[in-house]
Amino acid sequence: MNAWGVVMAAIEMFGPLIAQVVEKAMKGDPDPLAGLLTEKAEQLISSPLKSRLALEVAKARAAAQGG
Amino acid sequence: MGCYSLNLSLCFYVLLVGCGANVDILRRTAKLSVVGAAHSIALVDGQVARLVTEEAADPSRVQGVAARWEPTVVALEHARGVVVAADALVDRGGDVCDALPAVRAAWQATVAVPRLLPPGVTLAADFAASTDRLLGATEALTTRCSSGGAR
Repeated sequence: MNAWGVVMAAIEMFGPLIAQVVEKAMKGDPDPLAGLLTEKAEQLISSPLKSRLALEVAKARAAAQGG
Repeated sequence: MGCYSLNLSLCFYVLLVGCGANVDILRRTAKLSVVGAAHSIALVDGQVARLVTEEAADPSRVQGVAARWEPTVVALEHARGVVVAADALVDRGGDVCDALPAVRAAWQATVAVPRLLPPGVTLAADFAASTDRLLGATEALTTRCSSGGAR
């Protein structure tokens, strides 16, 4: 384990996130990381489960076919 | 290579928390873990929705679709609920270490979802890799909090 390993691990884990944070910072966001995390959590948590919707549609289709 | 990367990631987290221990880092890393859990759920959700839709389009398989997929979808709904609760706790303020058990629970519920997939169904490899890495981060933070670290 050396400094280069730490840098590589950080890039591997946070590369896309860092890029988005930099983009937000360049747009003048005073706290880009906090803003991005909150935004992502809200997006992911508030959206309905696609799988539940798909399953309900599949159930309705199975019922229609059975009936 | 996977294990090596995982170890590097864990070391990175230990250094991150160990060198710059303060409330802000702990809270943001807890938030990152919750977002990671939500992201993993979204990944599985998208895959499951696609597979269910494919089965529903096949007249020979549509009759058994509810029995096959209901446990998976229920597990996803449970995991999503636990993640929502953890997210609210992390955002609540006060001692962020109080939210870490909820963050751990979010990860446990998330990684339990693949065990409830129908027989013969496997997820894309990136799910396991992402959950392993961020679960490791959550564990490192929990260790930090349980040892009376910075709050």
